Amino acid sequence: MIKREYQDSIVYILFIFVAILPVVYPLGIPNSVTPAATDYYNAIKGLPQGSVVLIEVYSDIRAWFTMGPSTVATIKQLIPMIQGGQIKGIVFTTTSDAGPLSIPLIERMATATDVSSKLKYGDQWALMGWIPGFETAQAQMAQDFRAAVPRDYYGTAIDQLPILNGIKKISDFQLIIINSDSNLDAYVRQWGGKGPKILANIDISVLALTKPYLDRGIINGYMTPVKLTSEYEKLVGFSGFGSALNEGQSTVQVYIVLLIIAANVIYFRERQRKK
Amino acid sequence: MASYVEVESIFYAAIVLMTWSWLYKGDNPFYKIIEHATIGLFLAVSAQGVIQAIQTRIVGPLTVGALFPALPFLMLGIFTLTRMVPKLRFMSIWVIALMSGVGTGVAVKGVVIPMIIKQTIINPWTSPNIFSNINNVLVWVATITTLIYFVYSIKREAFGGVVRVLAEIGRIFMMLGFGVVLAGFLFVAGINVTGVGTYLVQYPGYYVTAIGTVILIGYIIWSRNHQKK
Repeated sequence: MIKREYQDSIVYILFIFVAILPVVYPLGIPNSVTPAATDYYNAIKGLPQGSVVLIEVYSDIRAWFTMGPSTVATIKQLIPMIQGGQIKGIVFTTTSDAGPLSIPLIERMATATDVSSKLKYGDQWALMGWIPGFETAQAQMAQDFRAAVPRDYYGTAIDQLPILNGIKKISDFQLIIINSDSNLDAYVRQWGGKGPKILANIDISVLALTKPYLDRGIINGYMTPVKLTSEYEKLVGFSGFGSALNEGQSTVQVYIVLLIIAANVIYFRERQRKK
Repeated sequence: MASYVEVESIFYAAIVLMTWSWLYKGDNPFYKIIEHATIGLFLAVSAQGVIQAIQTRIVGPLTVGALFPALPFLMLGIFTLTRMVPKLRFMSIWVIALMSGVGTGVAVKGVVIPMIIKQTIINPWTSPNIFSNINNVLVWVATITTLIYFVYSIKREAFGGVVRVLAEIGRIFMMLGFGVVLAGFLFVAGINVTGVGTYLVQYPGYYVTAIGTVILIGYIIWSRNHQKK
């Protein structure tokens, strides 16, 4: 029998092995596209001419693997639309409590999609940086965007950024994409029903909390990590990190279910033995 | 000459192995180095962001003579720090009260329509999609019974024990809900393990993994020989 002090480590090491195995030996698990991914894709595809998209990032760099791939895929769908002139551009902001840690996530997403070489800064995209205050900042952005965000992340005055010409309040954006691994209550309170469509890139554990807003049309679409992101990547036309992580997730979940079954079997056997 | 991406991948692979060394030896020097580096980096990045925010929103406007609103906010910020001085602590309480009041007011302003009025709308139970109908009925039952669970002003034995039964159903729905949330957290753990694990099994990280494995085997052999002596 394995010593008790090593049992936890063995469970974790097997967990790591099971999670990494599909990266080395892909299993070829079929992956069909569901309506949720199609709705999200079509919501972006159907943007009117000249739209400006606001991508608000609440997650921080620690959520790169969970929240990064979905927004990377979103940006990859948006870039050709901007280059083709269908939409005007993307603006990145963060009002997160962990704002300084959200900026590296935005920068990493921008690097992964090569935004700086594909789009012109100031005309087609802008990084407005961290706006401290979370919900109070969101409230101010809703009423007076230019007062809430007077400069971008690099210190350039907002009046010198052509992409934000005509943007006075949040309702002047045509689409808001919120990247968050926490609940969206504050965003719904301040930005919900103001005019722009809202799409949510959320963690799977937050989906249940977001469902009431989805059902009422306050949030118009959602994207969750890995499975849904891999479907979305298929629609956008590339195979990214979401697809790479998808098979790993399947094996991990099978392993967790087996652990739960094993734990219950051992528990009831021990109980019977004591009787 | 290795490219920046290759050097970065080697660095990440080394960090992952040093972090996961905890699984073998618990609190070992490699793990301690990474633990302290992570906390230090977290604090450094946070401090950089805070200093930049103060610079752009307070110092910048003050240096060009725009006293309002930078000066009042600077004063409020200083009052917050008086919390560390027992005789002046009362000044920080006013700032906290102001922030709490503003935060609550801002939140309440937007809560009525999306979080109260719109949530009272019931989805149809008789649509063509039977699964949607079942789902909507379940949502209605879960909402009502969960609310009843938290009504403590009515005894559970009231109305012939019906309240107890409904509260119990609500409790089961809450258990299911919390189970879903917990499963989500486990899911996130799995994604992160897969994500960081890719650095160990892809080029050039697998060289780091190989070196780490050799070091580990060498250490195990050495420590066993050392114990025998």
